[in-house]
Amino acid sequence: MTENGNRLKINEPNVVHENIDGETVILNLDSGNYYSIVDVAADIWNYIEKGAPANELLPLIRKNYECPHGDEENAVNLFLNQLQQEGLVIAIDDKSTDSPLPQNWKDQITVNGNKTVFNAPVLNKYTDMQDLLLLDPIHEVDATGWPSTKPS
Amino acid sequence: MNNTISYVTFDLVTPQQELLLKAALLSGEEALDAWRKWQDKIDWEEHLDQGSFRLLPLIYTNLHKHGVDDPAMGMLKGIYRKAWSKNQTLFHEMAKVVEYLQYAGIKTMLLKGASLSLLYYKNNGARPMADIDVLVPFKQARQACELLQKAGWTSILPLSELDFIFGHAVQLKNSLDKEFDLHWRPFNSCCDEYEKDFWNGAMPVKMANVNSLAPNPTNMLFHVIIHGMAWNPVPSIRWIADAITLINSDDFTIDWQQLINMAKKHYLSLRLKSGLQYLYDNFHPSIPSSVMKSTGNLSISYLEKIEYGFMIRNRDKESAGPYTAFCCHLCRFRRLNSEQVIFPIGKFARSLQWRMNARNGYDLLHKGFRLSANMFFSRPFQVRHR
Repeated sequence: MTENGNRLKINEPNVVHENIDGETVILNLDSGNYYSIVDVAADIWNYIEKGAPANELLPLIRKNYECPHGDEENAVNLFLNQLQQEGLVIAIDDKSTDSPLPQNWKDQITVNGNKTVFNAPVLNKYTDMQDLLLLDPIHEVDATGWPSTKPS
Repeated sequence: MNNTISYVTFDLVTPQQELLLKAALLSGEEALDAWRKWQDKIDWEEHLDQGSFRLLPLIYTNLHKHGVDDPAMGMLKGIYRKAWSKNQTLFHEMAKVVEYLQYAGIKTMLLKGASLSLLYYKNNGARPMADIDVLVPFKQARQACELLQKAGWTSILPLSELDFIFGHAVQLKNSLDKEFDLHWRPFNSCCDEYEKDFWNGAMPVKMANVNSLAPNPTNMLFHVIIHGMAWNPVPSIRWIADAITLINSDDFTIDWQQLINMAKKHYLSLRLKSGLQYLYDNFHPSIPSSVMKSTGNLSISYLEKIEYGFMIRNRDKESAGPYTAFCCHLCRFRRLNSEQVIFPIGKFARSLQWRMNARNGYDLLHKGFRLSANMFFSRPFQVRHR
């Protein structure tokens, strides 16, 4: 996990991402791995993208979600570690001149009016883009669509 | 000869494809109605032509915008995800090639899909691409080819000097079977003067963090329509989506007068006129009525009509007669040399040699006699596909 005060940054340009109807899809162009995240995981990714410092991520999650079990800290840390291990985000210093901390990051983050129950963030990973791109997106996939394949 | 060859005389778009285009491009009930009708008519899980398939990511974005809740949305979203991933992978890979050329001092411009996606659609998944098209200045084409060859990019057929003079692009492949198209002219038989204008009017674009250039909206629209108004084994219907996206863009303005002037100058008035008329009649784009009137009044030469007929003909079903093929070549040659006052006969002979794949003057004469004989008996003649 990053030290307090440090910030996580999306590892661009080798990592590209897009939010498609609430789901964030991420592509690591170096490794060819594809990832999909939703709900809490997509929110965390969004906070990182907006420039929220690492030590603000958990408070933001607590503001947005009901966390009755008290396991959110471990779950969020685990998820952040995964993101770093996969090379999707990198830790940078707040004072980094390359990526200065956006002053208005708080303004860009909206807090949900109706809190939903916190579920541990999950990073869905699909390996080998070359193989994935060969998949027929009409006949070889399940109802959720590419890249989820039909059960064999 | 009749001066009004209507767009309805070509069958570049089937009624089903038109419904799909409307579902992708129109708004409100018109789009939703087209989507429902298309689903009723087509079992798209059973069979879907490649041209229609390439529109599905755009269908997804439009239906999603309209809040459509349809069992097909999961699959459409998947098709969009795949298109996005493929495009991002292409951008990433081709940015290295663009950077490599630029490092050697060669200017680059991204044609077709890459520029359309990055600048005009402003969406990296809505417009799927098979490869990337990179334009380099004509004067740097040979250098670019040599450099790319050194980097492992080779063309299937060896390039000759005549290919550079009379051709416009080559497909290159590397050992990993990656492909891209290197262009040295913006389109087939484009004259040098237009090439200059094309570069002068270019706009900056960034692909995977690498800076390059893109055609300005007017040149882009011209390019899209001219390319689209031609028969293709894969139905080239997405030109319609590209053109509507460009015309309806809030961020860019089309210089309509320039567009019309370009068409006149390049003897491409009929293609522009038919293309714009088709768009105007079916997709209500924001084309001023004065522009439609001006294009309607464009005079069309005999050679242009012959070339148009050749371009839109289904070449799977019928071959061009030798006379048509000859006229087509003449039309293209005239376009390429539109700045020359006196018709360059020697150069024309060399262009025929190139087109007919003749080894030398004698071979050209031999093939010329065969062509004349075929012309007399009206037998189909296969022209070199470039």
